[in-house]
Amino acid sequence: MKKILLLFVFCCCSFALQAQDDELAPPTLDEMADEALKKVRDLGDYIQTIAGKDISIRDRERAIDVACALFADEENNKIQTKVEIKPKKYKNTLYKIRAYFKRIYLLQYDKVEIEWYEIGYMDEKLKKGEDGKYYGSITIKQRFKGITKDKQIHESIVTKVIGVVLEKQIIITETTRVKWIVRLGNITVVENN
Amino acid sequence: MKKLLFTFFIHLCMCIQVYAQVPLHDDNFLKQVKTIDEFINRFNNSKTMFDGYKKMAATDASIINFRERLFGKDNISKNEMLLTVFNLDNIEKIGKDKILKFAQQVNDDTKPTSLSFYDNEWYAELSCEVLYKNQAKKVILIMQSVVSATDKKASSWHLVGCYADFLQVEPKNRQKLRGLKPNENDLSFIELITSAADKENIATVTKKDFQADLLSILLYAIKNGDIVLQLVTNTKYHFLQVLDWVFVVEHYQRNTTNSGWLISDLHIKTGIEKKNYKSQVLYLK
Repeated sequence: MKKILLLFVFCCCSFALQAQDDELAPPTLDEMADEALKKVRDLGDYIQTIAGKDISIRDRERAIDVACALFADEENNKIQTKVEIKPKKYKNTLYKIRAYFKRIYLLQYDKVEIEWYEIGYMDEKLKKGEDGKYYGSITIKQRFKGITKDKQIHESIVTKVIGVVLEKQIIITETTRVKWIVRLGNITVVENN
Repeated sequence: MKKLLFTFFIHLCMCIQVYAQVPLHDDNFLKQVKTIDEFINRFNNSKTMFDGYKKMAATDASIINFRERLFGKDNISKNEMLLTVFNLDNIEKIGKDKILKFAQQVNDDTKPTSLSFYDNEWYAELSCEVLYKNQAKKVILIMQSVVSATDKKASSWHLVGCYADFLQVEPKNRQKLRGLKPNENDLSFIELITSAADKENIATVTKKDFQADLLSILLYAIKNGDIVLQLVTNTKYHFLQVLDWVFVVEHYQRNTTNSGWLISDLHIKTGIEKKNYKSQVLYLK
C-alpha cells in the first residue's frame, strides 16, 4: 500500500515544473496541458462518485471535499449553468462550488456515467494576470447519463468551459523550491440541445 | 493519508472506466470556434491554431491532421479560413461585397491585419441581470481588456461603460423648461429645492447638454445596496482595431459546423464614425 501511495505522489509531482524561485520561467501550454487536463478529468471522476448512489455515503461526501480542493478559491469560484428551456430561450443559474456538488449529490439517479468527447480545446497561450498568476481555459464536451433504479436513462450533452489557474507554490523542505501548480477556476456548463 | 488513498482509488477506478469507453465523436464540436482565443487564431490564420486541441479520450489516428479534419482539406486559403469565423446565416444581411472588401484588406499580403488579445480597441458587451430594489432589471456592461501599466505581459478586464433604462436621469417631462429663474441668485436659489422635489424631472436643473455618467450611477447604487449584480446572461464582442472597420462577434450555440464565436455583423467605420460607435453603441465617453 505504501508503495502505491509513493508511486501516486511521484506521478503527481512529475507533472509539476520545478525551478528556483527567481528563475521560475513562465509556464507554456505544453508544460501545463497534461496537468490541467488531468485536473479536468479528475473533476469528471469525482462528479461520478458524488452522484453514484451505489457508492457509500462516506465516499461520496469525501469526493465533494476533494473535488472542492481542485479549485483555486472554493469560496469565490462559481459554476454557471445554462439550459435551453425553449428554442433560443435560456435559463442561467449560478452556483457556489460546494452547492453545485451538493446538488449533484442529491440527483435521483442510481448510477451516473460521464463519457468524454474525443477532443478538448485549451487556450493556446496562457494569460498573465496582474497578480502574477497565469490563466487559461479548457473547453470540453461530455455526455452525462443518469440511470435510475428502474433502469430509466436520462441523457444530456454538456459543453463545459473550465477556467484554469497556474500559481507558484513554495515548498520548504531541506531546500526551498518553487513550482507551478494548476488549479481550477470558474466554470460554465451549457446543456446542448 | 486516507484522503490521498481515497483520491488515488477513485482516480484509478475512473481511469479504467473512462479509457475503456469508446470515445464520442462530434465534428460540430470540433469545428466550433470554442473560445475568443481560437477566434483570434483563425482570424489570423495562425500556424499554431491547432496547438490548443487536446485528446480527452483514447481515439484513432485520424484526429492528428486537424486542418484536414476541420476544413476538409489540407490546404485552405486565407479567405476561406476567414469565412469560417463568420456566422454564415448573416452573410446576406452583412453583404457579400462588404465581406469580400473586408477580406481583401485583412488578407492583403503587403499589409496583413492581425488581431491580438492584447489590442486596445476591443470590448466585451455583457447583458446582465440585476436586482434593483428587489426588482429584476437588465443592465448592459462594457468591459475592456487592459495591459498592465507596470508589467507589459500582464492584463486584466475592466468595467468601462454601462447602460440601463432605469438608471437614466433624463427628464420625463420633455416640455418642462430647464434651469432656474434668472433672479434665483437673489433668492438663495429656493427654486432649486422645489425643482429637486420633482424627482422624475430633476435633470431639468442641469444644462441642456448635460450627460449623466451611468457607470458612476451604477457603481454608487451597487455600493449603496440598491443594485445587486446577479448574472451575466450573454456576452458579445466589438472589435474596433481593424482600420476603417468594426465587427461584432457573438456566440452561437447550435448543432452545426458553423457555431461558437462568429462574426455576426460588420460595418465600415472611419475615424469619426468609430468615435460615434463608441459613444452610441458602447456607451463610452
